[in-house]
Amino acid sequence: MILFILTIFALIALVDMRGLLKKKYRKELIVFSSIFIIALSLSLLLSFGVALYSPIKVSQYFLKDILHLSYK
Amino acid sequence: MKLDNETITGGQLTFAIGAFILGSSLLTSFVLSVSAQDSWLMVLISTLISFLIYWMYIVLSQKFPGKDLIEINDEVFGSIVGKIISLFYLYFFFSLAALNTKDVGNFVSGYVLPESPGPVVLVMFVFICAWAVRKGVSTMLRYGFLFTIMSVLFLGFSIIFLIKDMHFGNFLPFLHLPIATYLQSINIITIIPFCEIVVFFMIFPHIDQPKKLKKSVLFGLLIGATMLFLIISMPSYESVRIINISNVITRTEILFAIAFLVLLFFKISIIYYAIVITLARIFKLRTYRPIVYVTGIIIIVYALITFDSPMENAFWGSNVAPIFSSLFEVLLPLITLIIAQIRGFQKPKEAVAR
Repeated sequence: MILFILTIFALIALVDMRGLLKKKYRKELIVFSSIFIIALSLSLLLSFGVALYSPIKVSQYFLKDILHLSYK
Repeated sequence: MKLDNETITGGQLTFAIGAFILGSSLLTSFVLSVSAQDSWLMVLISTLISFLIYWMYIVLSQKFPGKDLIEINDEVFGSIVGKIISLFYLYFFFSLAALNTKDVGNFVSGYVLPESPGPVVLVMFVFICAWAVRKGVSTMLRYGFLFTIMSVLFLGFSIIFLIKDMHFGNFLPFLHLPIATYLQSINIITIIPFCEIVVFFMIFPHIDQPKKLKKSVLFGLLIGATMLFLIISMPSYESVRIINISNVITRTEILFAIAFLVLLFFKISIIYYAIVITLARIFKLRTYRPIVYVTGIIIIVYALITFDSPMENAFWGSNVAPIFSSLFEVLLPLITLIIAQIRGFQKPKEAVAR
């Protein structure tokens, strides 16, 4: 599974980074790399079985239990 | 600043909006579990309310021709507050994409491919969407017409084949639930299928004749609403299973499943496009294509962790989602419009706009 994830990410880096390096887009490269690192770490954590807390549950908690804005 | 120079026609926008609304037709269970057999009436009322909200979107978009939501935020609220509001929208778009992708997973592993592992389906689905997004907006929208016609055909066939099994007495008793239930149902229908159109703010600037915007958007709503009305009061996926024409035409529900998946593909691609453009606008990038695939992976991870069970998902859909989404779909655009009005942004002349 980890091998599969790493292969996919290597492919993405190969496809997308080549164009960016060729055109010398610095800012795009920085943004791309940061999203890349976030995505890689999230998917590795998920494949190791770490229980990630869903952002949607945060807003559910906020709306339902703090503001009491829900139908039930 | 333009990210790409693609243009779309008014007709394409109309059918894209129709297909986008139809993409939510799987989610009618959120409504049916609340207002049961009176849902058809709720669809009619919410269509009227949606007309008003769409009109607000159109007014807001026409005040700033050639600008998408993030640029409008920057202009109306200033660059810092605008960025914060844009980040909220980004979170909202990500949540929409993740929830819809989750629905694909639930549907496929529940009905079509019960044996295959969920993540595999999601990964393949999102990568196809990513491919569509990389091709650009006009390529994506060109298929809206085809998808709408296809689903009209499938729906028409299933209505014809099922008409002998229908009992119109099932619409009774009429209006016997408490009034709060109907308000909740109207809220769900207005917000979940209709007003997710807020993502089209990223596509409105591409229209070739901005004058036609109002006509094509409202006509798109009409198509979507008519079809949703038919879907909510007529066959559901489960009832298509009982079609049996003298043992020759049976198990046609797979056609329905294909139509659902294709429509959801269309819907998710548009939300995905909106996410990528939002990211590119926030960081002021010159091209959006390189970040498409990495964003897709974040969508997959988000979709996998949204809810532990379909029951939690259904609870969210009928009770919390209407309020969560109305913050972004009604309240924020309304505030933007009011502030734009107060600060006196006037509609520029046509010569300036183009």
